[in-house]
Amino acid sequence: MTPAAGPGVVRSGLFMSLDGVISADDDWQFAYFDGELFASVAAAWDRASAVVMGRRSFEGYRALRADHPDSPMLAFLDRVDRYVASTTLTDPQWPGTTVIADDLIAAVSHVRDSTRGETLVAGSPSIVRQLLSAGALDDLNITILPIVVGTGDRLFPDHADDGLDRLSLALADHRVLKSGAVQLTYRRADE
Amino acid sequence: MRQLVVTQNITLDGVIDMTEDWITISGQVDADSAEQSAVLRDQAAASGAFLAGRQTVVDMRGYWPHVQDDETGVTAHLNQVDKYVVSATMTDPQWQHSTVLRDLDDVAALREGEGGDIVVTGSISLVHQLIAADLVDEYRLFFYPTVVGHGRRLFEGTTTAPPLRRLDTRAFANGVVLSTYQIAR
Repeated sequence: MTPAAGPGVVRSGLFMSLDGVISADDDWQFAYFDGELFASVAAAWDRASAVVMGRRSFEGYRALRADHPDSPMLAFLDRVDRYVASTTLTDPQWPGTTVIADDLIAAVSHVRDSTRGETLVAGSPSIVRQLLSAGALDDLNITILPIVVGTGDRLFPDHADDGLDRLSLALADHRVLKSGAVQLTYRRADE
Repeated sequence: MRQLVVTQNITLDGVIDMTEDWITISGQVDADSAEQSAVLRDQAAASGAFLAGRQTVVDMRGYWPHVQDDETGVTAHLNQVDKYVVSATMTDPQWQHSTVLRDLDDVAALREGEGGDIVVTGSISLVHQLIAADLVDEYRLFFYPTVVGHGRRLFEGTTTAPPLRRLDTRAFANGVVLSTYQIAR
């Protein structure tokens, strides 16, 4: 099985520690961002024409835009259509950004069907969870980094009660990087 | 010095507690497990000792020695390998080639000696203690294509481990990914 690719695909791009943590206060992920990992991230950006993110991720990128306008991440974000899921944000203050205020699943499905390339969920684990639970995420792409960090938000918290239990997945692709990172792509197998 | 190897079946959400019977969630895993079984046989053949907590040994000795004509090779391996059970109270392990270790000091002494890899599997409480005591040298993790939702994890909250170096990764036809990591000392 190879990962779905091209138009009509919604894909995640998450970095996770061996103990399941996807975000923490310190920047433990950056130690693994060598040229090879960055190239794989850039390849995912190249295939995408739309990006979906949560409000916190969006505000982080907007701060990056103000402070480090030459960041390669911004070259990507400025090129694609940006969608922010938020019930509180009204003016995104970044032209080309659309706020998704309700019905995330329907909105993302509409983006997927109308954009010319892939739809990438940038970070935003809670959006990944909602899409995965609803069967609206085509490729669950997780890069597992060889570190145990101890504390931080997990992608899959205990007893999250949002439908992500006893989930059957199929391995669609795997790739090993020199830094020790392992990139795994899964699809739901129960649909 | 011997290498202490933690071998676990683990879900994508990090759970190693198999009481929820998550092995069966993915039908693909069961249907096509020949490759995975072959690797397990190779690893068993290369190991020098089997280490486990009391409950895991009690569970295993009530099952494996009684399996007739076991084609996986697990019964033959477990019957002949040197087994060490960590228990403060057990007196008779009731399984041939078995030795009771009283505490982590005994485990450390075993690890300081000569011989092949000491492999521990299951034994969640013991594994948590081994991690905390920095007695683990290598992890062999069989990632199942499954999210179970809850259960005891290999690394519980606030657990930390020394830096790891990935040794090898391979994906089996049934969707299980084996990734091995060595503690970088």
